[in-house]
Amino acid sequence: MYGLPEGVTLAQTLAVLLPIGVVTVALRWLPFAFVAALKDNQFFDLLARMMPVGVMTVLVVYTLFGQRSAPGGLVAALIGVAVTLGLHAWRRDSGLSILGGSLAYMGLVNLVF
Amino acid sequence: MTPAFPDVRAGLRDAWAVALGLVPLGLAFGLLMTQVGFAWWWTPIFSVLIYAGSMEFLAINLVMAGVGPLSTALTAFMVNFRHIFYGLTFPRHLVRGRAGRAYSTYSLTDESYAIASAHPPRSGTQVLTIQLFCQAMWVVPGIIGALVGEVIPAGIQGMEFALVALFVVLAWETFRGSRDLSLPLLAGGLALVAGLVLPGQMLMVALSAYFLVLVGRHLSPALDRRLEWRV
Repeated sequence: MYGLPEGVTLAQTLAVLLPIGVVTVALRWLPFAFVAALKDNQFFDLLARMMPVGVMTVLVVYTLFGQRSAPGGLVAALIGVAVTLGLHAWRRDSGLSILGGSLAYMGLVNLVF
Repeated sequence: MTPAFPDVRAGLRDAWAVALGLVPLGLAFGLLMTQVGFAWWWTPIFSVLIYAGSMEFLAINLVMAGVGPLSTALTAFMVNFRHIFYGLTFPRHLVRGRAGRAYSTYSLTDESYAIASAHPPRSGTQVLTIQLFCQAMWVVPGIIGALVGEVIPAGIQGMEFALVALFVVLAWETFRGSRDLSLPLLAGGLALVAGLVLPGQMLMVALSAYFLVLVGRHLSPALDRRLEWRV
């Protein structure tokens, strides 16, 4: 129904899309409305410095947890991460690292495991 | 009044290199959407309702896992929090008219912020050209990827790993902003514990806990110094 994956309802989809859309636009709009409160605020400076890397690390672990049930499990996923990191250390080309890491992982789960 | 056309050209000239970088990710996003089971036209709906690349990828996971609106909102807040800083310096004031400004706010992505910071635009037309071009270079490849995904067989496994790789690269790049090793170690440790203890609420628990650690580091400079591990 509604072109959704099996077992996914329209309500479930909108319950994800709409909150994300609203929160994202609100975050983009806030600084225009509250420039004075946000500029040179120490706590915000700290968040700007420390939040992104932590959030991205949480997301790496979260997405890795999702790969545990896939064929090849965590071992294949960790090899994929190592290839991604290696490529990124070598060339620092985001597209290449993501593509190379994904292809390595896909090769493992389709051909090896 | 300056003629609009040169400003459009200037906007495209400043934006094309960054926007081109969006194409492979857009293709991958569309591909993943149809491989997971969405009809192709859901791809532009995702990209218009959300329009934040990494969050769109993550939204696929959240929908499939049936995560509720509150957890979703909190996750979006943490993941997209960085956007709150962009408006402080983004030249939206150059854009005239309510509709133009509303669009400029809505489409203030990492990429349009980066372009406007590297090449300060001279006019509102130039600002909007950059933002419209970036969104087009994200939405159109997404649709193409989705259509390709509908015709290739679903037997190929592991495409969803692109999301893991994307966050690995983003973690690497954001690490360079602080070079403080305690941040990814703390975040990774909290995520691991949350995932093992409360797998159903993993994202919300890990992100909230990490946020509390940062509040603690702000309130106690001694704690902050003790944790800091610069490399």
